[in-house]
Amino acid sequence: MTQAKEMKNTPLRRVKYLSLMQMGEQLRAKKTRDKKKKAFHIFLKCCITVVVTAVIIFLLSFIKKQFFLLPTKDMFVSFIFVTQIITLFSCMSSMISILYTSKENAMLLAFPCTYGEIFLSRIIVFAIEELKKSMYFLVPILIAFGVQVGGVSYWLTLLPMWFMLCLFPVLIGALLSIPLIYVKRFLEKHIGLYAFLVIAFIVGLFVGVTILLDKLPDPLRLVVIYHDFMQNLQGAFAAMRSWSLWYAFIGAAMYGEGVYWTLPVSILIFAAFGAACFLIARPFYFKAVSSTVEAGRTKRHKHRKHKVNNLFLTFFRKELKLFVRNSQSVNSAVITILMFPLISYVFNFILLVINKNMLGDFMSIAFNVMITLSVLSANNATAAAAISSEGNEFAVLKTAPSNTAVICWAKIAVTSLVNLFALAVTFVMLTFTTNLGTGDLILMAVLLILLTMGHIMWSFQLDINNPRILDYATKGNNVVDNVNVGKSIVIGFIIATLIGALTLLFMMDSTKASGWIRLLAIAVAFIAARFYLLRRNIKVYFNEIQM
Amino acid sequence: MNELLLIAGMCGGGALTGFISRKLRGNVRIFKKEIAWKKLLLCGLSVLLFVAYMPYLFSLEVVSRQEGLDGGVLSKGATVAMAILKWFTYFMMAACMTQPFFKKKNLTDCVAFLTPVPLLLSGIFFKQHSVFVTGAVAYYDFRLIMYAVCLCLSACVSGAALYSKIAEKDFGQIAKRLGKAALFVLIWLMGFMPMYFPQLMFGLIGEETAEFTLTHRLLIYICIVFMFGGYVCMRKKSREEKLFFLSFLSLSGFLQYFSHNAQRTGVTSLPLHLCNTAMVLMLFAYMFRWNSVFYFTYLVNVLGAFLAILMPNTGENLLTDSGALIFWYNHTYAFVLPIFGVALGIFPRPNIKMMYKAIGAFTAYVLLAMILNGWLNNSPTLNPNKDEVDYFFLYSYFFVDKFKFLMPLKTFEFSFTIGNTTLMFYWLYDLVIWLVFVGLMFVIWGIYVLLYRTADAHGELAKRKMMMRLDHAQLLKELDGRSVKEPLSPEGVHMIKFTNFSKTYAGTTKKAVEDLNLEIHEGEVFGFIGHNGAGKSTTIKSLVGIQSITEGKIEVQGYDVARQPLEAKLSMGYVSDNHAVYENLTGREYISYVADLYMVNEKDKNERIEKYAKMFHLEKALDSEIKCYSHGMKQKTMVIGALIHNPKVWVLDEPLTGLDPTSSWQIKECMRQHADAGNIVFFSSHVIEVVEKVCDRIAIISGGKLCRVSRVEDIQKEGLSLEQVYLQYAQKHTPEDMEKERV
Repeated sequence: MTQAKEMKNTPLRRVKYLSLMQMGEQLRAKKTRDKKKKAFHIFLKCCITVVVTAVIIFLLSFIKKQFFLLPTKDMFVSFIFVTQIITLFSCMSSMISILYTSKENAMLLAFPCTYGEIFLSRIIVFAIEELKKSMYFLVPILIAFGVQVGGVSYWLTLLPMWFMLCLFPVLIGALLSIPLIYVKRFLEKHIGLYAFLVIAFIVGLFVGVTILLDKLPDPLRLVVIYHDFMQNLQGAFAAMRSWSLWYAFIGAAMYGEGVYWTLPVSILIFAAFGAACFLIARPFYFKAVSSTVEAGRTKRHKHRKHKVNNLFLTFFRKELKLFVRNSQSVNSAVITILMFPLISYVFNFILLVINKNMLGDFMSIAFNVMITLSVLSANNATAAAAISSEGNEFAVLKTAPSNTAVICWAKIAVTSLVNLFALAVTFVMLTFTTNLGTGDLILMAVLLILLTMGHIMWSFQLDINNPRILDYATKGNNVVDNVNVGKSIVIGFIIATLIGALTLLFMMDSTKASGWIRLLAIAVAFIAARFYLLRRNIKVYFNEIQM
Repeated sequence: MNELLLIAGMCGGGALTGFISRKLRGNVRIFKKEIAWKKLLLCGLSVLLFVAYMPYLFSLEVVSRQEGLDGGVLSKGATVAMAILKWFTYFMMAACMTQPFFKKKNLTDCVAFLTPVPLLLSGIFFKQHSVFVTGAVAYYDFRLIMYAVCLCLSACVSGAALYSKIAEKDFGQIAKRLGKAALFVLIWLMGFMPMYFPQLMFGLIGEETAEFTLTHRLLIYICIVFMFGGYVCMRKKSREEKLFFLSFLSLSGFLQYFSHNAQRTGVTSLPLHLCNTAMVLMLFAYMFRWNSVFYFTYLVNVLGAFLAILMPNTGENLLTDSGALIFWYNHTYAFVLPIFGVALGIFPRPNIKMMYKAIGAFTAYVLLAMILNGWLNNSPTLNPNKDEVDYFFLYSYFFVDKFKFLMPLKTFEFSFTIGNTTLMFYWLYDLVIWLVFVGLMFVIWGIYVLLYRTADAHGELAKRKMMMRLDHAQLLKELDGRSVKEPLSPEGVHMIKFTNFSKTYAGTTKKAVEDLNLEIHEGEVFGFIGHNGAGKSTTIKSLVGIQSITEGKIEVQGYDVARQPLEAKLSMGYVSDNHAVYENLTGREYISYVADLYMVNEKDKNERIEKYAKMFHLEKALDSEIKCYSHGMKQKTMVIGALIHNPKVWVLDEPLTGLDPTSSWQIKECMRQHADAGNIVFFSSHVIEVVEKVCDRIAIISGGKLCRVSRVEDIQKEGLSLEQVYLQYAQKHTPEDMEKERV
């Protein structure tokens, strides 16, 4: 009989196993058995890093040659600072869902570990993901700056700086997500206040943007304002450096300015933030998580009686209710409906002051088409998970004695409603901000509606052909690696680029009228093909979806 | 006199070949293959015809430079007549080159009955032909002699075909067959049109193609229409038909390419431009099913041809000029033919190894082009006139003119001298061109893969659609005139019946449930017990339609679950093991939603909701969102949803897991009441005590196999508890033991 060695159950060991378990889950989802395929994927990722690095090096040298804008420490710090702020927002949004609202939390909390250990393991897993992601942007930026100006100290400090720059937004994000989750819940309970704040924010943004845009000279001649612009830019870099605190130390250390004290100071600040994050966030973590897991609230709704009309209306009613009661989908819809016209407004305002000839008119149409399609396509990506996101509830559809495939059309109708509403608001805005005629605007709207609907149907078909119901059944709506969503975004981007290019080509090639006819013919053919294919796929594959 | 001799030769040759071919018997063994002597004779003649035609291809016809009908060597009428006769003769010769190799009725009829007409007319008007070709009456010109030989050889092949028809008295439906053969000729004629024909008839019309003009685009559209049209027309034909289609097209491409412009004698005009190589390679690939050659054309030539079509470099007017026309013919063939080869299934889809081989072959080709360019442009002996030699545009400024940023690359030169010849290369420029092309080959590879996947998806879709239709037809047949809404097995209307049911999950070979046979009758509460992973949930999910049935049949109330799913589901209510309820709906909304799916009318729905809400003490919670419910409340909501249409069969998967004693008792009571009302309650559980108390009958399943079915009271009569019986089976791990026990 062999005597089993007693395992040391230390906190570090527990954190290690917790992290490995969570990462194992993620790796299993992405696991590919084909070694060649795996090697190819790694090779592809390396290629992406190399290409992005090369592009940034080229851009830096281009800016240096054309605009005499040297990649100075100020510029480096500003660059890093802006990218870090963007990363921080992305981290906060992901952390709220991963740290506090994920279904996995209930399972993790049941393990014989302290809540601090669980929190730490979640942060570690998140940080590792961030390190991986940094290969596509942060690493290329660091290498590109290094190639342009890097001295010995730059290359020597590169590795620890990369590590700290990746983790810093994670730490701050973990801290900030705690008050945010409380604010979020508070606002979910007080819808009126939430609506008021959103509208106030948008109106404020709109007013701010208008004030800024009014400062643009009309007509906008880039050559005339070049000198002032460059001076202001340098000033902005310097100001940003003075405000960026920790990043200024990072910049100084990498550029070799007092490296003997700036490097230790930056490491110390980072360590202090790490400790603060752990000490402050840890006690709040369990409270925030458990209140998400617990079912404490009672939300009552009046039931309105309705006649049993037809299946489509039954599904449509249910989809609409679920959509309205899901804060995530409502937020996304509100952002689309309000922000999208704003983007369009800014873009067209700038075009209006630059555009002074016929070619500009065509460019204006082409870019409007491209930008609108890109934004709407990104929004349509939810359709690529519409059926999968039913999760366990799909059993109701599988066991119902009716043609439940009709739910697909109800889901498409709800997604389309949001997009159509956003489009309507945008086109009302465009009538005031562009010099395009009403006819052009109507034709553009028809074109965009047809293409968007076609893209929604395409995205939906991706989900029908490759449903991920089990993933959504286990993870709720926190599935981040849904391949169908990725495909839908890529398809949307390709459609937007292609149609934008075709718009320009057709308009320049002959008359505007013939350009519109050809574009609309393409859009009609596209939607007809997508409708036909979706219908066929639903007929054949919907009933075959298994749980 | 000469014409008479020629006609006599043609007639005699035809008759003799026909006679000999009829008399020939037996086979000959060539390369381990048995071939009939007759076929060998005719194929030999065809090959001979092809070889004899070669010198003619390399000759210049006087009329090929003529623009319009005015000022020619013949009168207008004679020119038109001769041009048409040449076109038809040219086509008929190609038909004779191909006919012995293919068993194709239209082609044989064409060669037997129609070919003799243009051949004889060519013999009669041989003098005019001589003027047409050489500009003078020159019977003994080498080209004309070879042409006469070709006419005779064609007559031999045609004569043999005609002789065979006469001997076999094969004239049934002759008018229809002749019509079909004529149609065949008309369809194929475009492929064999002499390139000078439009220029000769109408002069020069059109505009330059160097710009992306409407005419240019129209020709691209024609190319695309030809590709899709050809595919649609041929995709359902037999392999033999497809092979003929592609071989004949490749022969047409080959003949068109070489027959145009006779100046193919010097080193400057060898067929070594990328798309020119395709004309030769495709003929070999299709004639000899030569895989590596084919995949070179598929992966390299298609790309080259596509780029050439997009950016034509002909500086001549488009519509009628022979130079522009051959450009379009050449590149259309090079683009479309290899794609046809894979799309029509003559060659399998290539794998990545073939791609690497094609890159290797392309590298060799580029090296050859570099060496020839570097050598021939600087060789005073081989190229005394200093004509530009520019294979694959590696030597000239063709690409530099289009892409100015390539200019600096031209400064990187490398040269060395052998004898009195200096070889010079633009090594960096050539290397960049090679790299870009190989990169584009990978892009094309990606597009091919994408297209294969799309094609597979559509193929699978069509196949499944067909299967669905066949299944429905089979169902109608089995129903024997009854409506599809009626039960397939009227004798089974009072039960659930599993017949040899098996389930295997996708991606596995092990059966989760194997050969399950079971009947559950009205008025019964039936318990299905087994260990974790025994197959209980799998069976239940297949019963209620969540999962497919791999083998066997499940019938509910006489309805086949697989083929009459809607009718079967209408009589079932299902409570799942995972609280599959929409958490953002209220309890009432969820139940109403389920009621709508089951088409329950408003009055019944409201009555039942009130009844069950009262029974399960859910009245107060019913208008709150389900996400606020406890585990038991969710389960009760699901139970109400399952009973809202008063189903004849109520199926529950682990219904009592995690419930408090009161909720558990309420659900058990409900099950008993439902069964007592003449319905079936079928539920799975691993809580033995509950099953023992509630059920009339039980089934034990272990390792996917049904071990025992018996009444609970029978077990009690044996003096055993259900737990003891269950443990007997649960402890048996080997399927053999369970099989013995079952027997």
